[in-house]
Amino acid sequence: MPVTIAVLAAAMLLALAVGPAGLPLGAVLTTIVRVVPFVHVHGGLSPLDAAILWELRAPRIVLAALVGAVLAMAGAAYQGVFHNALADPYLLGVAAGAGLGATLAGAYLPNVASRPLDPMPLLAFAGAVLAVAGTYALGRSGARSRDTATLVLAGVAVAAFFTAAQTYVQQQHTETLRQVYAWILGGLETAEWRQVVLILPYAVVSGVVLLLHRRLLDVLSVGDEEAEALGVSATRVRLVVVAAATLATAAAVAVSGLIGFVGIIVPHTVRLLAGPSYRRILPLSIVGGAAFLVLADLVARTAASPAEIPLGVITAFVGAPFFLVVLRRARRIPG
Amino acid sequence: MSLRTNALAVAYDGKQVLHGMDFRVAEGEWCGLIGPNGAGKSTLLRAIAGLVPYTGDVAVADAAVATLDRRRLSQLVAYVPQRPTTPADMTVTEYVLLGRTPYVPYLGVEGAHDVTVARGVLARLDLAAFAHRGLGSLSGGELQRVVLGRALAQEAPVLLLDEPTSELDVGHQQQVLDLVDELRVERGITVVSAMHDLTLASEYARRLVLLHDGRAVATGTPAEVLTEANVSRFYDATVRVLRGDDGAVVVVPVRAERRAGGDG
Repeated sequence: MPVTIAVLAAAMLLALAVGPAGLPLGAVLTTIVRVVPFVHVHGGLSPLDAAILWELRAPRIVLAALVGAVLAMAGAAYQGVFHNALADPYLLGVAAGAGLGATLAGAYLPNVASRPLDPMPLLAFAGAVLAVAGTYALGRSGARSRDTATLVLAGVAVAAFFTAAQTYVQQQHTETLRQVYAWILGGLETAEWRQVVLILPYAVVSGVVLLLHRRLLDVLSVGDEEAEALGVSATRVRLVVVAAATLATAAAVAVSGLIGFVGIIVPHTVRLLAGPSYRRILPLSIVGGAAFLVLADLVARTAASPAEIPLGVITAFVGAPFFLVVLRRARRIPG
Repeated sequence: MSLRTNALAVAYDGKQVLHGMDFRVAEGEWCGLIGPNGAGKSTLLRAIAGLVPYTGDVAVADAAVATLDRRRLSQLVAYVPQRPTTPADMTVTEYVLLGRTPYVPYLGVEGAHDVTVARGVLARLDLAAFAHRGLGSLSGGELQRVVLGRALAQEAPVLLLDEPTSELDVGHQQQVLDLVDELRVERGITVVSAMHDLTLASEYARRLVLLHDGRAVATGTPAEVLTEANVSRFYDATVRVLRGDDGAVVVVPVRAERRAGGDG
């Protein structure tokens, strides 16, 4: 854990210093330390550089850390309650619901810039929550409501329905395609402190709820029936965990679009290094996910500078080969 | 702690799999459930553990199970399924500690007492040397002891075992069942086990209940229940039942032709 936190701190510091306007690392550190009450140091950045630091880089990096933490933590939680290594919050329709919400905002609520509150993230959030709620309602009405496979299949059905609706709306409003796709590809170009404030309560509440369920997630790893024989209602734990993970993911998607792979790569790496207990997987995924996305966003904004590469493209691009390496490593470990 | 069911009935998807079972086990007794596949042995165990909806009554030590919450029930009844889920990379200690779940606060983690209980169980089952091994690295016999360890950590006075030795060779079958019997005597645990091997069942269970099509068709001592007539009728099998002077019952399957004296 201390190592992971150190990696996150180093990643954030590096990301603060690197960019079109290079800021000296030492001065960045001094400027940050000066904010700490009762600490007096001399030197630091010029007022202009300090403004770049606080108004442009810091909100973006903090937002990247929060979104990364939420996606990784939600992925770990979903894998725990669905006993499926490939489960992540997108599985139950978050992506499709958010996509439809964003498309509707683009098509029917134009002139986004002139509005005091951008409707795209709001409708994306609503769409994501609605889709997962629909998946749950459909999955529970099935013959065996305890079966997680029923829930996953319901997620496929709901996602297909939302995607069909999204395609239809896009057909009718082709002029908004570009804007909607830019949002769907995911990124943090427009990050401001306002968005940090927006996602922070969801991230904190969800994080606390999931961390409190860390032992129950371990109990669920022996299957629903055995968990019930040990006095735990698997259905109730699953509902609470899915609700917490989904709300935080919907908030993350609303501020950053669809950023894939984080919820799968990070928890898997943690599992390989720290074992199967959610007491270690959850906290390590939170910190590791934050570090991962801060670094991925650093690549997104510097690799093709001055142009930006969509963050979702970077995570998929970095993520897929990384995933293969992780799989090969896993196979070499005996047992 | 005694166990009792009254008109216990279970239906899956409208199909009745258990019909009005009246069933009684005295405190500290080992009761064996036998019967062909699909007779309702597993369903009976799962109903007692509160894992399937049922009609009728189940009572543990005269307390109606329906009035207990799930947590309290799992403090009284430990259930080991036929094929327990044993995550390969979970350690033996982590797995046995899961047995403390009924005593751990809902959103909390194990306390010092829980760790002490788990250590005691590991020591009792000669598993201390395996404490930090992953479950995936254990042999079948070792794994069965670990599964039993989790049930023991539950400190429940009633232990339900569904085919506890079906995956083991004859030596490990005896070792596991001997261990269960020692623990039964030591701790006064009431044991109900579904068993396939009729000879083994008669060796360990003081009383047998023969189930067929969701009904108890014979109840009594092994000698009373395991007759050639019962086994041939309800298992549709041809067997010879040998009886030793010491009360032992041995059920031997024989080929029908040989029995009829066809080829000598």
